[in-house]
Amino acid sequence: MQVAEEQQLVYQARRGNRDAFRCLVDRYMKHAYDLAYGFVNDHDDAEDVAQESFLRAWQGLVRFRGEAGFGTWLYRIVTNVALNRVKQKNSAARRRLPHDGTGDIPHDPPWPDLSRIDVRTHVERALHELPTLQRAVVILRHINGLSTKQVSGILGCSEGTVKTHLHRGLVKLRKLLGHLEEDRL
Amino acid sequence: MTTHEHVRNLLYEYLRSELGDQERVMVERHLEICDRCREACGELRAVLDVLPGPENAPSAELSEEYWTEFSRGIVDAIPVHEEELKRSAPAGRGFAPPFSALRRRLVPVLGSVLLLIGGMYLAWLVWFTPGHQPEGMHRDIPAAAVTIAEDRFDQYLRKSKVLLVGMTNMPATVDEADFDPERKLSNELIREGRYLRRVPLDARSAILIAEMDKVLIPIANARHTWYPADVELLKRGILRENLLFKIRIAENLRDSSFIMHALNDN
Repeated sequence: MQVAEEQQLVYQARRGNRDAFRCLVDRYMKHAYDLAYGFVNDHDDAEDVAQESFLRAWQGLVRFRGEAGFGTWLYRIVTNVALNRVKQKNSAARRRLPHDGTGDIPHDPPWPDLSRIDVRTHVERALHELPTLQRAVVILRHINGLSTKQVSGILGCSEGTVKTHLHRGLVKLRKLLGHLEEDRL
Repeated sequence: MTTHEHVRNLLYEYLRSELGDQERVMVERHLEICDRCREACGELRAVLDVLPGPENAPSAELSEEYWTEFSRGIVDAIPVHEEELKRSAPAGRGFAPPFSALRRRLVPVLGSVLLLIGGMYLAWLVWFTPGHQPEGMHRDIPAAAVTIAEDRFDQYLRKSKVLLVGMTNMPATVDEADFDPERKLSNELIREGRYLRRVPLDARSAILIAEMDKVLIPIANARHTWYPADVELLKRGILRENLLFKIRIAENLRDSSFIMHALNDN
């Protein structure tokens, strides 16, 4: 889809054209889902995040000024919605943590035996261990294949910051996934 | 940022062959001579081999029927009234003349202009009110309005004199006095004075009205009954301002001007 064509769709959607908005949904729904999945690691949550993001985009179209591309703007919404969902899930999980008889809260379980889980699950857990910004950069830049410029537009930071956080996030993933690599070797 | 940090920040693009020729050559030359950066590059390559990329997108595992339903569900979820609202909404910048953007600029400009006009009007009112207007200078007021104002000012002077004479002649031995009549008359004179300020006759009259307020306001705000000390205080105020004398002067001046007008007419 050409840029001018997308601009026309956005223009029509701003005027209430549902068909035009559906064209935009069709173009970006898989990317939005993949981006959301990278954060929430769950199909149902990713679906909810993607749907909510598109509805927010529809409601926010009147405020969309077109300075960044529609995709960048949409991904920003998806990232924010996904991070909020992760925060809610983490809060809910902390409230449900069981207590033993002494009142101590057990720490996180150790890395599971690789023979019983697949690599993807291991990677998802490792991603979850990263700080929020590093995780966001890795998901956007590598897993979703967005450019450094796009990622900087989505997260509102400089391209240099994106590169720095990407490097740090990948270094940390290396440490977390180190025994996975050894097992494969 | 050191060279090592700069190179490490480029390793990702280097491994994915996304660097330009100049940067790629720079990175390769550095890796040839720096063991630590070369080791970091190896570590990064190892993790990239494990991490899924766009080619492993989770969305690829879902059927086309799912995505068709997903898209339809989004559009169906849009409330109808929102669609109608959008039709009346501005198109937005970059695609059509953005009325909302114009409005955002016009409103503060118009507001400033209105404020300026209002301020000028207020300044004009203040400047040309009787307190500030040079003596003998009249606003451009219709003759009938001036006549009415003069009549009302005459009544104001008469009633003020009655009030002040009554207050100054009040016996000092009275234990308590009912000041309701005086309070009511004072309120009436205060209101009349405010009207007369808006229809200025001359500067001297405006000054007299302001001085009368100094005495009228305490009387208007007085308690139901006063005590001898209160009456004494009020008398001193009247005498200090020499109000009765000023009222007589104002009356004489008005009589003189009336006589002059009458002589001229004849």
